[in-house]
Amino acid sequence: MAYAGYRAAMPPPSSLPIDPSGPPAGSVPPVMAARALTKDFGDGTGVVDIDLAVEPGTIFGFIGPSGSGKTTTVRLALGIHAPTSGEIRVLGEDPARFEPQTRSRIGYMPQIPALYPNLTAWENLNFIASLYGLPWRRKPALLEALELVGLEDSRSKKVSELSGGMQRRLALASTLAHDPELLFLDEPTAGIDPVLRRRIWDHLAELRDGDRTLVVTTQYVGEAAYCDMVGVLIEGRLAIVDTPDGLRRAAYGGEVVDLRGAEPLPWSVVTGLREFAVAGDRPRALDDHTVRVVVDDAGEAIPRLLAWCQEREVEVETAEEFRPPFDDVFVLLVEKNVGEVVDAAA
Amino acid sequence: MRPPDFRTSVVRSLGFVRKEVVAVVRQPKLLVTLVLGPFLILALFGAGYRNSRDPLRTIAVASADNPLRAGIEAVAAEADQSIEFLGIVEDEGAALDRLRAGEADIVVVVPENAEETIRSGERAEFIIWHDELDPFSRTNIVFVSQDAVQDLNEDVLTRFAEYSQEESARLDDALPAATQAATALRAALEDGDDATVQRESRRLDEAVRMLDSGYRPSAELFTDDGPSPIAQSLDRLRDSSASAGDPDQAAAQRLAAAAEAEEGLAQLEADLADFRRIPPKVLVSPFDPDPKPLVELASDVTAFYAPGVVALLLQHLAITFAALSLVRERSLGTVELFRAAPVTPGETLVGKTIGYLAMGAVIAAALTGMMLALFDVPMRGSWLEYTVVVTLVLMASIGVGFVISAVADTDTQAVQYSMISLLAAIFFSGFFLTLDRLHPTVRPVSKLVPVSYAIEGFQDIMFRGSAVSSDLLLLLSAYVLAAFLLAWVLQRRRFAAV
Repeated sequence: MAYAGYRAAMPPPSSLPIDPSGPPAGSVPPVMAARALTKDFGDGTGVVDIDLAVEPGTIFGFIGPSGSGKTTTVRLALGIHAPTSGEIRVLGEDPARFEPQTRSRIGYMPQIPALYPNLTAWENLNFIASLYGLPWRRKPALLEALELVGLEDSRSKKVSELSGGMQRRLALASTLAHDPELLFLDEPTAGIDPVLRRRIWDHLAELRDGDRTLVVTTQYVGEAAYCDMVGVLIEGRLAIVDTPDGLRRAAYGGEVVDLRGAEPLPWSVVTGLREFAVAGDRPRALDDHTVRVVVDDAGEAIPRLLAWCQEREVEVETAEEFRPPFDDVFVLLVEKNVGEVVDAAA
Repeated sequence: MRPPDFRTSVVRSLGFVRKEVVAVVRQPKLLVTLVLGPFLILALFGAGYRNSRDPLRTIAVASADNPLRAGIEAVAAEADQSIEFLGIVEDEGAALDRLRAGEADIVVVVPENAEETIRSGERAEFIIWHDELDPFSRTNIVFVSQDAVQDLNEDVLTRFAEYSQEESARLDDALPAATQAATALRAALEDGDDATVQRESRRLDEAVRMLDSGYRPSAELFTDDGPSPIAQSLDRLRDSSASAGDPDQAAAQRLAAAAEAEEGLAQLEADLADFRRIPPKVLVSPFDPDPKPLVELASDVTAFYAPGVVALLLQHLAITFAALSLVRERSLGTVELFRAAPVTPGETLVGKTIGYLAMGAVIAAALTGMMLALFDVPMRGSWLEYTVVVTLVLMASIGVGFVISAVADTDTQAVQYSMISLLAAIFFSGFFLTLDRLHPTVRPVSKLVPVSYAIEGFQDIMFRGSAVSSDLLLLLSAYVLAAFLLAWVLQRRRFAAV
């Protein structure tokens, strides 16, 4: 069950750092932790009962449909919104009472690029760097940030002359310039071409490898693959939190194996493969030659499948694990969880 | 919460300074328009403004046999540029039709039975028709018509004075006769010649009565604060003449009275000579106003208004810039960035204030230079005090702008509130209307308008060359503090988690 996956991935509520008893001795406290976090805007929007822990040095991705509460959750974590109920701690502090020094450790890229159209890219970058108290000799850091997003040649252009994608890249550079240890990026790759998106994700991974923690929202479901942990938000509720592979398992109920025969597969073979399928699932014929089976562990199941076919003199062309695209995973997850969310809301 | 450390706080505030200055400098057309536009308007106004009104085209209505026609024509002939006399007509209806048609500005209906009215102890009325709506033009008509009627009254009085002087000359023969009688009476009293005493005493008495009846009206007419010298001379003459001719008096007293009558007649002769030398116009209108201002000013209206325009412009620029800046930050979404960043509302306000103050100072310097160079405005006071007043007014205006920016939700609202503050500045700053024209209960409103302090301060410094009052500086400083405190509180609310 998908929700069970979420529960398995989450630390037990009592181990969250906001618990009065504190984290267990020797454990690394989460960079961000929320318990029963609720924000009610009074018009049916907001987030409800978010329980969450983001471990340091990871990329945590929020995915969900538009209006599912991704931005609200990020704003709660930044102290821009105050929770209606529940608790949240970021870098060990209540965001509503952040010290300036704590804010300096955080980088934030809003969903809509907060830039001044009459100023150049460099002037915007320079201004935002000054907000974080970056010292006057900050030119190398700013240049590095511009190079990262590929805007070093456009530094003298006014923002009004930049395309939407370039503006988003500039906003990302502004977030990175002061080298924060915790980054909140609200849809950082929206409107950016796939090549640059990949480059940006590569850099985010580098930041993660450099012990930075990143909380990223995205509507590109496929980008979940770049995250270490993914939280799926549906109608303001955190339906599931898991690794990308865990999400696939949660969506399909196990791992997917596609078996392709050299000849058209007889129906008896298709139905006979049921013994390999996870409980409650049935093999599906994709065409005359191919059958899809959801198994518990593809690595363990494939050799057994091949042996089973050999016994029945079925010539197998290929038998391999199918990694479904996250778009499909996401759709399945939403379909599976909407009912649960509605039940929870009720 | 620990306060941010000073160094990073300075870095953040200076970030705002640079950003605000660059954002404005990036719009040179805006700057040129803001600075030159109002001055071009003022220059055009100054070049086109006439410190006088068009003469009132006047039609008089009087019958052909109205005795005042001559007087009206005389007043019209001598009228200054305030009246253009179109003539006297007999038909009041036709004159009013011309007034309605815009061919005339006023129609003066001359009283037909003025003499009878005056004889009955009432003043004769001139009815003055006009078709003005503008209160200032209506007031002008009242002043001009009062002036014209005053001229007419003076004309009547002048003619009466001329008549009195002519009449006094007719009695010139009586004066030597009285003097002769007084001299003869005194000689007869010395000689003890009773018959001559009786005869000369009668002659003197008759002559004195004649002089009194002839000169008394003139003597009483032209004074309103006690008896005139002529009246006093006549009084003394009558007394001494009566004493000299009184047989019940002792001889010595009668002799002294006769000598006194002689002296009185000599004095009367001298007083009458003085009286005739005075021109009739001076007699009827002996006083002339001669205003002497302590501060000399060029008569050019533009020079007077130029400091007010500069003050108004500085206030409007500062309020508009400040009011729009934070609203625009919200509409651009940058406020969300500020709320996530370690920047505080105080650092935001300080940085923006310094930026706008720097730009305001440059604009103030340019406007002041143009004002002195182009409009012949004097600078008689201290430049330091002028700088202090400009700085405080700019800061007060920026504070007001920040308050507006905290209250307004959109650009449009911010612009509307700024325009309201401009309107308030025009009506309650003393720019067009002096503040003493306001009711005392409304007058304190002017203290809420930064430009009112600037106009008072600029006029003291530039025109009077005097020091700005410490009360003004204290009040203005308090205003700055109050505006920024309020702006800070409101902006903190805007920055707070919601």
